[in-house]
Amino acid sequence: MSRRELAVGSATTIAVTGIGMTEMSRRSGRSVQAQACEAARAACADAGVSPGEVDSVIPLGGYLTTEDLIAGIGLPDSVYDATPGPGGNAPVASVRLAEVMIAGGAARHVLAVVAKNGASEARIAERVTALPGQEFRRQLERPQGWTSPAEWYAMLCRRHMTEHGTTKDHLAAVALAAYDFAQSNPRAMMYGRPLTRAMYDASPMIAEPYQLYDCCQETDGAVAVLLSAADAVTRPERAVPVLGAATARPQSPDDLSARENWDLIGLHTAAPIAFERAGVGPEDMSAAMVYDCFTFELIHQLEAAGFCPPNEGGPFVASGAIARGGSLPVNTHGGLLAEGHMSGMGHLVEAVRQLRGEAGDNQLESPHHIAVTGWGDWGDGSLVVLGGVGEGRAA
Amino acid sequence: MSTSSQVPATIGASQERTFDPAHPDFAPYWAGCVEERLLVPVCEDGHAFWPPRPTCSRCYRPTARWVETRGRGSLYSWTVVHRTRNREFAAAVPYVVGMITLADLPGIRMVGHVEADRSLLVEGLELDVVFSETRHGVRLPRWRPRSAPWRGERAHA
Repeated sequence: MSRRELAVGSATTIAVTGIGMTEMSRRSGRSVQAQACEAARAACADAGVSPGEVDSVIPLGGYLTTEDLIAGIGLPDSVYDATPGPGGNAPVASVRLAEVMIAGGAARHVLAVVAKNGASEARIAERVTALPGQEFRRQLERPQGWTSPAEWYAMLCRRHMTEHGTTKDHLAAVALAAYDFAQSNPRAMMYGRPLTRAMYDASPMIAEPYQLYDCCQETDGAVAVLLSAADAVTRPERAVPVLGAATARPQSPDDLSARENWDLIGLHTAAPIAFERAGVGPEDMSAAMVYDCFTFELIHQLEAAGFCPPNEGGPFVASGAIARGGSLPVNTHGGLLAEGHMSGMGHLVEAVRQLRGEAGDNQLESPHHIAVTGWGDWGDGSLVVLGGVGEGRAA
Repeated sequence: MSTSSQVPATIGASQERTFDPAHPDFAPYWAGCVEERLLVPVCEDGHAFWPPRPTCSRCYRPTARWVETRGRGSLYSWTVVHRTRNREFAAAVPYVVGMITLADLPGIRMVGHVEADRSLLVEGLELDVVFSETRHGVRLPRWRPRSAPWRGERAHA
């Protein structure tokens, strides 16, 4: 348990009560606001809560404002808004933020919404210019030809290969598992587009060791979740309790050159805190939804969260553990690699679907606990442990 | 600051330029590049650190001066970039970017464009800084394998 954090959020003060999701596409032909309103309204309806009852809102994705949601779906004028740090860690970190707001008495229903035209308008290369540490990017990295997330994280992957023996076979196992799950998820952008090892090997090189299929989708769409105080749940048969949540940054959080140990990321700090709050450990999870912007980053986080021993993430994924029928199915929706990139909010939604028994052809048999990780920026990390419907207590 | 050279006034003319040699936290670095010297900030407590920040990343005391590194290092990690949206490098693909550990300033690593054939890439490859390229009127540090020939540029060895 972190010495500096308040002891807020032990099991169970809040629950995910509603989820909403638009189509994932490359060219939505719709505004960010239109998609956000659709997903947000769906999340409220799913929870049986009217938008006028939402006390707090967390608008995410970089192009969505609180005003869009007040004007668009009728959030109250008095709605309180806040956002966690930028980047892909924000959606899972927003669960922790909601927990703090609810535990502090500032809110009973918190709406978190990711919305973006991430394929047809502001693509990843543009959005990362809003991340911390821009002066290092501008002054020291772009002039050397080091520009995009694929190029940054390729360097982390290469170091892990050098130091711990991770191989392209391991990276391929991650991509193949994701595409396999996507073949039975009709919402996935890669639904109907199965991946073979031969296709993986033949795909264009992007930034060695990363080829095309090591890289995630870029996506237009919106995803929303409603998080509610345990005593404000109106449809308990659908409420998925948040058992523990935490978020942390790595040492040298906005720059890789000064990071002493590249193995260590924010998730190394966050995961033990979240598991301790939940009163369970990584070995108790029925599945995990792991932020998979690139194949190695999934391996990296499996190690950081304690799903496998340190430095053994490669052999772990190659064993089939994360694939369909494995001991720890990971990203049963296809993840960022094959379902679509909603900055990780899709991972949270998939965990809720699984725990409600609504995951369609990819439904796991009686899952009881699922961990969801976030990754962003240069290694910010978060982890949320969700429990089974009806688990936990009213506050 | 250990150099008095001014950065040429011509820079800033291009919208392509991403760097800003006038930025107060980086100006001594860029002024050093004009003289083909690779400069690193040192705090009031004598710690050399990287990247440049207003305060030391180890003890948080302010930057007090800048020291020249000999610019010898070894390859810690790397990538070979095949596709990039960085227009300055679009014609250069495939090219190598490395993370380079400095030999004379322990604990400091720098990101550098590595002018080396990819067949040479291996952890620990010894590299030297060269100021082989001029962009927007500024000499930029690049890195070459120590044993490799170089063409007419001054290496800091």
